[in-house]
Amino acid sequence: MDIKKIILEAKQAIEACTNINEVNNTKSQFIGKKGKITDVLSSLKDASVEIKKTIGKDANMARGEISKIAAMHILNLQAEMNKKQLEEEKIDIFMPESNLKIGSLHPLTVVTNEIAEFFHKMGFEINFGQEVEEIEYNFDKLNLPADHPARSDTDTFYTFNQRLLRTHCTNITARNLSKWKKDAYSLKVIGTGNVYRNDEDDATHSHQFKQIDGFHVGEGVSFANLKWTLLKLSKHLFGEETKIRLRPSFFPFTEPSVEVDISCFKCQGNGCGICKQTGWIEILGAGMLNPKVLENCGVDSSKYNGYAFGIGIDRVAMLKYGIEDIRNIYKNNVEFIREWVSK
Amino acid sequence: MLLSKNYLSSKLNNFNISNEKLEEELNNLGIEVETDDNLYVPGLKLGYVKECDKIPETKLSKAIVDLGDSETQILCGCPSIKKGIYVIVATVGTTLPIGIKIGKRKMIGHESNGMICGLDEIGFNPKLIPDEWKDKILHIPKKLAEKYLDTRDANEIVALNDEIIEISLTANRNDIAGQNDVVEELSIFHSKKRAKKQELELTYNHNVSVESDYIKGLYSARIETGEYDKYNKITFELIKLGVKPTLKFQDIMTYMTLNTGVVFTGFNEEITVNSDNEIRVNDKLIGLEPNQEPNPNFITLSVLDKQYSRFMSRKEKLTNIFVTKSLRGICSSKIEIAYRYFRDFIANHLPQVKISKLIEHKNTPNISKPVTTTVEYINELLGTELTPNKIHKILSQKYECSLLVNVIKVTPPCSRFDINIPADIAEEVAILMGYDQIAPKAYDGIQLNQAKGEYSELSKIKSTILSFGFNETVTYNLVNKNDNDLWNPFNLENQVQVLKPISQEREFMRNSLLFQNLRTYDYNKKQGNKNIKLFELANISTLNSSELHLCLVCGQEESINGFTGEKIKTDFYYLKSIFINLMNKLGIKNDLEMEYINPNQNILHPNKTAVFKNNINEVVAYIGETHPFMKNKNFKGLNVMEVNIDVLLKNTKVKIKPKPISQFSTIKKDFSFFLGKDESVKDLFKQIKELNYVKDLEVFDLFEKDGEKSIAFSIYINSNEKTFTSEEIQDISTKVTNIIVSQNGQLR
Repeated sequence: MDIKKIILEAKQAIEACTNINEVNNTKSQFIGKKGKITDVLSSLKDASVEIKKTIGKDANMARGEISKIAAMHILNLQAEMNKKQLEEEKIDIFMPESNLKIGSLHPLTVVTNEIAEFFHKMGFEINFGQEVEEIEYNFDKLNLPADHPARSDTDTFYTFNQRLLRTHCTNITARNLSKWKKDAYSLKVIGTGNVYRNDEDDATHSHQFKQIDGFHVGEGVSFANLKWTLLKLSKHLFGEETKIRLRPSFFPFTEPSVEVDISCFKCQGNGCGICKQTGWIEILGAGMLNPKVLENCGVDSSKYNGYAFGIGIDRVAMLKYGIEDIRNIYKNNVEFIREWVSK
Repeated sequence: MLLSKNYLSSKLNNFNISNEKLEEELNNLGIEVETDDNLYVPGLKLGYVKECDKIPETKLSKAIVDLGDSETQILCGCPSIKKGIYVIVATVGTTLPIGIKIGKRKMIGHESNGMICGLDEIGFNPKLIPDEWKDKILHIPKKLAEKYLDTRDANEIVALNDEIIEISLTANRNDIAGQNDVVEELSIFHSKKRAKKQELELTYNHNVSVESDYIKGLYSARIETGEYDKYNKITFELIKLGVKPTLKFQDIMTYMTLNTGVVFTGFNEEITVNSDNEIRVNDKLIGLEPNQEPNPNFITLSVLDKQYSRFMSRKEKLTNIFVTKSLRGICSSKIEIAYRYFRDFIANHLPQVKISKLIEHKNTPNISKPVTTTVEYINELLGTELTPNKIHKILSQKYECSLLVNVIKVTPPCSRFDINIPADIAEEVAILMGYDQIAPKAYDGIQLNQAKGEYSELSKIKSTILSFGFNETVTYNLVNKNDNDLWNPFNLENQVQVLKPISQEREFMRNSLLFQNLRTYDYNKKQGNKNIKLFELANISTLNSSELHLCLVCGQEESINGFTGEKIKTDFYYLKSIFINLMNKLGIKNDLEMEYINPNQNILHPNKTAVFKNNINEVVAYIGETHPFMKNKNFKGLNVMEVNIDVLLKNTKVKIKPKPISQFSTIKKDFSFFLGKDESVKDLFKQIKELNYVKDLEVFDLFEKDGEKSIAFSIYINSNEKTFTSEEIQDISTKVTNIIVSQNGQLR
């Protein structure tokens, strides 16, 4: 048989194989010990040495050729099998993702963090104080006269032992000033936490809400410093373009006292629903600590001045995130809370 | 407090300003503008009813109304309509404040081109309209109507060509009690108009004594009221300013009170008996009691006793005007001004009224107290660099003020009770020059140091819990008594009870965060929310202490993926791992003792709940499942954890000491054994973990059969120094099996 013909036949046979075993079997049908090449060689038993040499050479070449064809086909088959395996393993990437969700902070925490972060950078210490406070630290030291309406039990929750549920976080100011050892030339603290007012809960009132109160007392602390701090805070919270406006006001613990408005972050001062068409939004109260408060807390008001401010966290959260009903903040619907997942 | 823009305008020069500008000026004075309302109703006309016929079988009348330039037919349902009266007509195209737009209509076959109006339809508050004018059309007297026949603008007749501004005042500004006080404030920006002076002929003179525990009259006078014209503009002004008119002379006094802020009170001479030409005044105050004697003939300008004012306001359910005014700062100088204002007003507007000479009573006048401060103090407090002359100039705009070198002496009017200390003067400087004139300045000593405080631990706790997918809640701290009675896991004493709570639901500060978060879980479940995992971090307060607590609530399992079937069991072991992770994150050494919770409660499952205690036997935390026999069915089958963070943080801190990384591979050995169902692996695992070279222990199987539990676990053996020989491994294995046997385990 013609060697070339055998190679061709082998090629066809091998390439017709559909799996590796078949290829190996087919291969040995041609180049195995009992294969067709061997048959050809054995048929040359009586041929001349020359012919034997020539054909033997061809047969060896054919062995190599057929092995190569087989190897190649095995590679192809392998590739096909790999491909098929991968195809079988295909998943639908458009099916929904698993339901793993990281948790979310509560919006009140988010706002508290934003404010605290600012004061943290400014070197303010952060305190939580105590929610059940002595009347002395909630009112007396803060210069609230005995007949001040805020002291009435229709406004404030009183409990036993001359204590009450604090009505503001300014108690933290009184506490910190009273224990200040004047070992540094100034003291900067912000206090935050729950405060309580004897109000029926409705869309804008809550008997429990959160505040941040802060102060900076030291030598040479001035109103201009307060204004700088509030301007920076407003920019930090509401963006670099934010402007502030101070309006005269009155708080027993500060003198002078101001209400602080920021330019409306929604309409940039042009007038919209959020700012009630005024371009300004009231955001906090502030002022220079009343000398009486300093003296009540054992700080020499002829040597030290200080500013103080108080921010309603719930109010800022409602403004900033457009929450219309304060009660929604305390419902704790997880779908609502998950809105703040990025914070 | 309500202000009429027209009134302000009548008292001030250059007052033709926009509402925005006015608001800005008031803001800068520390007077907050709440609302402003334009009362003007375009299209309201004065009409004359020329013809009027009842339409049979209806309540309607058909009126032919003369509007000056035209005549039109209007149907009217008010029974008081008749021929020959002047009325207010809302012409076609008018939109009334109550929301009705007037168009051409056809009713029961008759055309109607407009609407004849009553006061409640054109914007007056129905609650303040006098009863005799309520729910009916307003008849305008001929005499009054004839004054407006040229313009026929009905707004002018009832004083609606005005804007009402509602302001709110801070507690220190007791001196701003009347519209005139606002005029006084605004006169910094707009000079005051000169009042026309017209002296009255004064006829009466009496010796008067005011004998009352409540009234401290300073001035009094006798008046002859004459006939009172109820269509006087004051009637409409009062409604605008929030007072229901009585349509009697006392309306004048109310109006005087609204303008001056001083309480005018009136008496009727008949009920105050004379003797020796003396008038004794008793306690019946006409000005305070709306429906009393019609026309007083004796007035006083008084300071009322505060308690009496409160008493009167409650008893008579007054509009509170007199009460609030009389509680505000009235001083003798203001009363004198008020009296003169009253006298001039009568001379200019009410010629029929005669008034006697003012009689002054002996009363201690308020004395103005000067306040002294220095230029340096003001500049230091405000952070400004104002010159002495500049400060003097600023303060002189409003106050009697003197400057000596750098010492400033300001004498505020006696009504400004709130100006007493140098800081008050600094505030006045800031207000008068404007807060926008103070340049923001950084404090020289601002250090960007690392702040101390409790905040960093808090964010560690929160980030740990968040990473497990829990959502933060903020719930109310005040709860009902029952909550606290049922559940006091941390054994708190000295509970905080609110003495006058809003309701019983909000009477006590809570002992534990658990119930409020169980309720929140239940609420979310009812809302149909999935995979609800909640945490709260809040203070738990007693009378003497305040401690930070963390609470976690979740269901039995969390479905991660429905079609792959992946689930997380959010059970006791899950919460326990969160707790251990939390301790690791906080760097706290876990040497807490665990025990089963006291079974004498119905809140948590006695055999599925652990209490963690520290070495001084304080409760640090509990982790467990809600009690299957719990009363509230909605709370059943939830897994919960509550940690007292403050107690937890007292535990020893772990220091970071990195160990060398082992060069040798770790060997794993498996064991399995039976243990009695009621026996615990507590000591068994503890002893194994304490063996040398045992780095970790992992349970990979646990099942119960025939009253025994089968436990299979692996230990991981590793050393930094060597590869173990098989003898050494066998040795460790023997130690492990010995421990198992010594703890009543049967090797499988």
